[in-house]
Amino acid sequence: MGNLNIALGALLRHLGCDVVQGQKPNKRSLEMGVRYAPELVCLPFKVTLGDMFGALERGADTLLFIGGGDWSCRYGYYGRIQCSILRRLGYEFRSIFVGNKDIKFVASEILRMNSGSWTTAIKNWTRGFAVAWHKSKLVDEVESLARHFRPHEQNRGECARLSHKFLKRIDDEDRVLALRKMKKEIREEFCSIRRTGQPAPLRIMLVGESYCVIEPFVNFDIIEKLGELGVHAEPFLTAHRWLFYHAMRINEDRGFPRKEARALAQPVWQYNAGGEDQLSIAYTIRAAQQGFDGVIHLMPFSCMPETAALPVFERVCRLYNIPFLNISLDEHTGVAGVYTRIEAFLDVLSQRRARQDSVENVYPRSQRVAIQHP
Amino acid sequence: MAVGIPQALGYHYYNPLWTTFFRDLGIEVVMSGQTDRKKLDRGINIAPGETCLPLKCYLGHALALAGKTERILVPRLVCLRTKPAIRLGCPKMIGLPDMIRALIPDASIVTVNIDLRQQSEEASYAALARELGFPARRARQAYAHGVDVARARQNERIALARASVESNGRLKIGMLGHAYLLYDDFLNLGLLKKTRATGATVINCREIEAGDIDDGPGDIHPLSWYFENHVLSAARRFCTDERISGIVYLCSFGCGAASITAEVIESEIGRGHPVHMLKVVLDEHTGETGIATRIESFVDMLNLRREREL
Ligand code: SF4
Ligand code: SF4
Repeated sequence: MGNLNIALGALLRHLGCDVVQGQKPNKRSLEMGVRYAPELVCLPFKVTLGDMFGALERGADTLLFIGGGDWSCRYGYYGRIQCSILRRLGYEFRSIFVGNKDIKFVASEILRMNSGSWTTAIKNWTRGFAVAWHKSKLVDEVESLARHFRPHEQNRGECARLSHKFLKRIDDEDRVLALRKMKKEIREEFCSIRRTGQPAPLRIMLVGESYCVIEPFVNFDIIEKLGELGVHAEPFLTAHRWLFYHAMRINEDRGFPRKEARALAQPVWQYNAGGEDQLSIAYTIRAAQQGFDGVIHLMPFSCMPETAALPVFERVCRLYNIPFLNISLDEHTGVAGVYTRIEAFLDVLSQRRARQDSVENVYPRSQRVAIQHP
Repeated sequence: MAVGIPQALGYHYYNPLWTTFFRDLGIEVVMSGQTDRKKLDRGINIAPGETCLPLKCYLGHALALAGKTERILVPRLVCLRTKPAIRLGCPKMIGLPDMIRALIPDASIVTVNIDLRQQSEEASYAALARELGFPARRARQAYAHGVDVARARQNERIALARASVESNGRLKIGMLGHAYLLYDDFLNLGLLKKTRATGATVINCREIEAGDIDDGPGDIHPLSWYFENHVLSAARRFCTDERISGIVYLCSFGCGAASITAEVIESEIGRGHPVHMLKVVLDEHTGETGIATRIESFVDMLNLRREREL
């Protein structure tokens, strides 16, 4: 999922595993996933299943499944069903489920990999965790800088080149100190990109189902593409935040604490129904309050929590007067169709912007904001 | 005061409880009536395209009541069992009242929030009554009465179904699916009737004492969805009962839960016992004739197999 592999790979290597870097999700893995998954299951299931074929073919002998447990949407069953599909097809592998229920088992596995010594296990675990945390944070930094500067870059592709370069370096570097140092360098290089004098770009908030927002392969690289169109797209969730704040519940997002987010969304969406739907709604409201120009909602076709929440997204966006575009993705979705819709959406946004700018001259901004948010 | 009850989704699980509860409190109950073409079409019109058929149907029922009654009862089914493990509603049931508020802004709704992690079912109904201006004591009585009526009705159904399982002769087919499909003859396109018309006996999975999958021998992992677990354990019962020759599994297009349940039935329950299962996926375009032919050929197949075995 996104650049998650860098941090997780580091963690597992330190725990004493040989990590088979699955390739990024691609056409072939999608095809395999679609062929062997139940027909009506959601897209992330198919893509991740496809990835597992890839990993097994490259010689992985253990598959790690994250998630499971009590879940009100399908995510909780991914591992179990994917596992049985793969076994039925004759693949042989060991499976480890990392979920809240099986802590003991996971611990014993870790111990086994460290030749039975708890001291090494703990040492490796702490070190691995620290490295993973720093890598993940750096990756997040790179992604965020790229998002920020891409709409302004003079030579198209400059940010992509820089990101690529740094991501590779982060992946190769295993020393915490060096990783820390790299941060400054990354900042400087991004800041020195030659910029066009373009004024404030359109800002769009991306919300919806986590996998679709984070994985460029399924969302057709939407963040980068929008950036190249001169638009700043901000995802509500990044791989780093997903892994540490959501999956591990560590150091919850300081920028927008979960509690606050829940409270913001609760009047219109009382429970989190299964994915990150409540958080998504909270980010939608906040985007409106912060003066974003629009909201794009990405979800897999037939996703349970997101289809349920869809009318609520629409209601919120009407209420707060911010344009909203819903894109539902499945294996048949064509890139051309999606981008035609996005371009039409962008047209609406720039027209609004132009109109608002003329309003700006008449009313001071503070008043306008008060009108916008009942 | 009058409260409207949409006859869809949760209604089919809780049925006599709600009506008894309100009537005991002295509240007039207005039913939305059976599903028909008009209701369904109105629901489809306002529903997001990708949602499941039962939800679209629910919206149609709610629309039919909007404006007619002061309040509409829209349940929120979050957590329906806590022991031995947590069992949840599907995301659409968890978000139902919020969805109705967003899609039918002029409907004024009351909800009963069933979240057993927070409070008992009785307390939830007491809260509902309080919102309508009734004291907790009366609410508890009404609730207890409602539960009794519902249980009595359920026991009747179970006794009838047991008698038909034990009766001799005819081919018996187990019907799997959610109550809101099995008991809604319009939504299921008369599937149960059509099956009976072929001469087979239909055993409705809501009417056997299936219990929860947790209570079984523990060979199958449960699912976290309450209603899916029921389907699973019913499937296990059907498979292990020699008197039952085949299973029809009724589910709706766009139902996320069913895509998982079907897979588990086929791969985990089917492992020990070969399942003769016909899976029927319903959506608003499914034609009645197509269903009839599929049922007939399925029944023919089962009949042939039975003759060979005898
Ligand atoms: S959130 Fe949606 S896409 Fe993700 S597992 Fe649940 S149903 Fe599937
Ligand atoms: S369980 Fe399936 S059919 Fe029922 S409401 Fe949920 S998605 Fe719809």
